[in-house]
Amino acid sequence: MTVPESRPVRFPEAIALEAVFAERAYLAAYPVLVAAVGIGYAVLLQTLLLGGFDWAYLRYLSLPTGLLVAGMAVLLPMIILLNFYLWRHPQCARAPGNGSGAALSPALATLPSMICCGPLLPSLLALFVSGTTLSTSVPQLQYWIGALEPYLYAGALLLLWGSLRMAARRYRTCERPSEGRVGAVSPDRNGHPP
Amino acid sequence: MAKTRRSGTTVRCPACASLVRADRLRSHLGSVHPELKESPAAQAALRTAESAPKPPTLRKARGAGVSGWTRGRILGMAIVVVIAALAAYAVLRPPPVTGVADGAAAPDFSFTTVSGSASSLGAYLGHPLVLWFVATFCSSCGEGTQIFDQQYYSSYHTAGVTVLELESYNNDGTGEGPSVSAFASAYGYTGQPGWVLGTASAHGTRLYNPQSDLDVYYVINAQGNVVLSGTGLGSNFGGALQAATQ
Repeated sequence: MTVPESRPVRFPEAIALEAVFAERAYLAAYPVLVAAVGIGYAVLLQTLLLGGFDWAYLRYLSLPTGLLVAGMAVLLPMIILLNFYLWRHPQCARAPGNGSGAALSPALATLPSMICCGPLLPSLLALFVSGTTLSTSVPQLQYWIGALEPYLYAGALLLLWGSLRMAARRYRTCERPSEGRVGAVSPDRNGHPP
Repeated sequence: MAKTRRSGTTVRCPACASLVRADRLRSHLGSVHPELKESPAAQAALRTAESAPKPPTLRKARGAGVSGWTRGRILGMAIVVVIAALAAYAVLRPPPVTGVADGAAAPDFSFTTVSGSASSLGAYLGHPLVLWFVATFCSSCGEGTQIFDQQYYSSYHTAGVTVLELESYNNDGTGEGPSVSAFASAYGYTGQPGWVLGTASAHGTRLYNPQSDLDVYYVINAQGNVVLSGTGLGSNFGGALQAATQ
């Protein structure tokens, strides 16, 4: 694991991912994870929206949902692989930071599909409000949630990106060994030890 | 120089210049830079780290048993678990419909078709039909309409089952969302025979959809009795067709 010191830290993701994908196993795992996350998440959203499962439903993904699924399929495997990489390197494993954002984001993005049209929201609110209030307020709430859908999706993707950035920063706070022995100290640009 | 952050006081490692939590500098030096652990620079950094103020933890502040970091993690995980439980509930729970009961005769009501003509349910009784109450802003209704158009219309038409797809009156009382004609053109309705799109009267909506659900359906047999009802027709076109033709 080598961290180029001269790189700008404006995009720590690029530096961390470059190191991760330098290993062939990670490079090979990435497309597999992209496919698995993309298909799995599309199926999940359509199942929640329509209340049942059929492979054919994948053809009817709306544009915002399709973009969300694509973003999720690209970013989530990066976060998984980067965290796995950090976990496998003991000098990084105890660096600060966690993956709560990455776990929260896919869950958050399912809310519009779950709440927009089905009986979930009416059933939950029925525990607290009367029938008349329910029949007038729930459709309005569902309408607003439907209208907020693209923003919720954008928020979920931002959360994912933030998670990737946090993981990349963890990578930056790991050791910077010279090539070869883990735990060695990088020489400075003149080749002298610090 | 030590910096205090929310996650704790950090110091810069004298060997690799990375930021390390003050209380972890000793173990960092020991595991990553063992040969420099005794160097003057490392000792100076350790002294700085040990003299740095310790960050207040929730344990100290409130007597709680978890640190802020752990607390955040627990909260995040709890939210994920709650959302997952809601998802399971949404998919597995049998949808309640509180309008006309299964087995009862379907009461008549009037509606307006998308072309503007007045009609009533009674005009269609005597043949099996599916009565579907939708809202034009409802995503599952839109996708369900697309699925019906592209996958099920021909089998319904061949079996002689009519589909009456009606916007609940005033879009379930919200007055929001696109018009029925915009909904029709967005999701593939072109006036196909055996498929009627329109807007239900307030009376009809109260009768069949008193809870103002967005996506409710009733299957009515040739004798004019309700044989099946539910929410989310988009995932049950096959079951509804089977019930209508039995």
